[in-house]
Amino acid sequence: MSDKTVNLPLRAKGKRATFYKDPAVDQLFAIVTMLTQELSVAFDRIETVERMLDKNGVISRADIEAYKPGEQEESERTQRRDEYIGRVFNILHQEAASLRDS
Amino acid sequence: MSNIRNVGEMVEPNHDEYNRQRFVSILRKKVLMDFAGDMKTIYQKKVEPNFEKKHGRKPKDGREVRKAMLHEPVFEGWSSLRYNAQLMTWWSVQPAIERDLSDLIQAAKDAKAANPTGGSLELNPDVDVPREITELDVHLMPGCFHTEYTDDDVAQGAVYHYGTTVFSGGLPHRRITKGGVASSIANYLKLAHPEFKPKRILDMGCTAGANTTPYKEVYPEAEVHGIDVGAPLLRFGHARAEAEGAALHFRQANATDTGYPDNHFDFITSSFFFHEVSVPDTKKIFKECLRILKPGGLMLHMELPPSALTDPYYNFYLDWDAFYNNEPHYEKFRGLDFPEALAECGFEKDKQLMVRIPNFASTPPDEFKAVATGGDTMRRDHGNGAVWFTFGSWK
Repeated sequence: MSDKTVNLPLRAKGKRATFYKDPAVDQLFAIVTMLTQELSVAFDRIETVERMLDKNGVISRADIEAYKPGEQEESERTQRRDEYIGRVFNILHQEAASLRDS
Repeated sequence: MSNIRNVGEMVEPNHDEYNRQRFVSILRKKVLMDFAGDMKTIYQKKVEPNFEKKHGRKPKDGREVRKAMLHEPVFEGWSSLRYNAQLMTWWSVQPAIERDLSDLIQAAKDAKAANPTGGSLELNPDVDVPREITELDVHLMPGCFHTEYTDDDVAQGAVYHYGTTVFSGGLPHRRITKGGVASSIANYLKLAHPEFKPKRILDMGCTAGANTTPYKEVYPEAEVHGIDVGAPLLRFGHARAEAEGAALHFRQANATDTGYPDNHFDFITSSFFFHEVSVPDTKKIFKECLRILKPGGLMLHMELPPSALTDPYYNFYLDWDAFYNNEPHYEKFRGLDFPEALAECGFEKDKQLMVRIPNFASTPPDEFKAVATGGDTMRRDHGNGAVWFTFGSWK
């Protein structure tokens, strides 16, 4: 099914928000966040391949695309993503952690 | 049951698309729970004490907290992450919707042609879509509620429907079901006002109908209507309701001027609606509600709590959306004196009510019942769907 007829826009109408003095930092933040997502998805793909190899020995691309994690596996993946985001963005947590310690 | 394909369940993301969505859900959970906790710690342990040293008092409102927080690294980082997660929510569902759009449109047309439950869909291209919607993509959702890209388009309805699932997919209170606001209000009314049996119900700004459906479930005898200005959302909502066996009546109309006869509805409601509307329009809508509500009827809207009822830090936290989420009326709406505004529009003060309703699906039934029948409803905060603030009036 590739009868794509419409391209939905990616840009939201209205001024793009900035949070840093230098808007380049905002742009970099967006790029890093997107990269973090892509790496998370790559993890998921590897995990899918590993689990299917464990189970079946041989797999196809179609098998991977159709693969649906069960509830237990989904919650393991959720836990992994949660910890992963915590590690990547740990800088946001550090100041609060040191204030809590002091 | 009908054999109409359900537009609400048809879209199939591929492996990577699905996992992008899951990532965004968990990212939002981290932002709104874990990192938000860190930001509050920094405020309490550093920013507020520094403010007190300088001014000899604590910040008096959300604006002062905001000013003190604006250049804190934690606020810059947290805001960046939240802002990007908001955009990524919609981006994560768009590709699969683009791919399946022709099918979705066909399914919606089939639902309209078969119309098995006897619900209805009435579109009116002459309805004025307010400027705040055409000029700003609310919630940073590209295309907003109203944009149509092709004939009989349902794309924005699908982006909203599937996107909101990703949006709240990591939050523990919200995972259970769509329509959490309406199921909470409807079940609350049934327990708190068992004698109140509305025959005709209106949900204003109903979007794709997620918070319209539960009224039909709790009051199956009632005629349930939803209005919105966004045609693609209404088409999608009607198609989904028909496939799920809920007879709902969707109509494209502006809440400021609904076109319904006087004294028409027993119950009028909305969820997360007024904070997107300007204050002058809010008052017009209150007056319109008074006009179309039957004597003895009830108007009860779910909204963010007014800033007078929440502390300065929480106001700063909630009002983030006013500055960064394309919701320009948010802060002014929350700043309204609700009882005065309702009274100004003709709702007598002794008939008004403000109730905090626990989220029905995530609250133990005994506790929900105790709150509904016991009265102590103002004790909890609005927060990630744990409890819903509602306000309104009997007529």
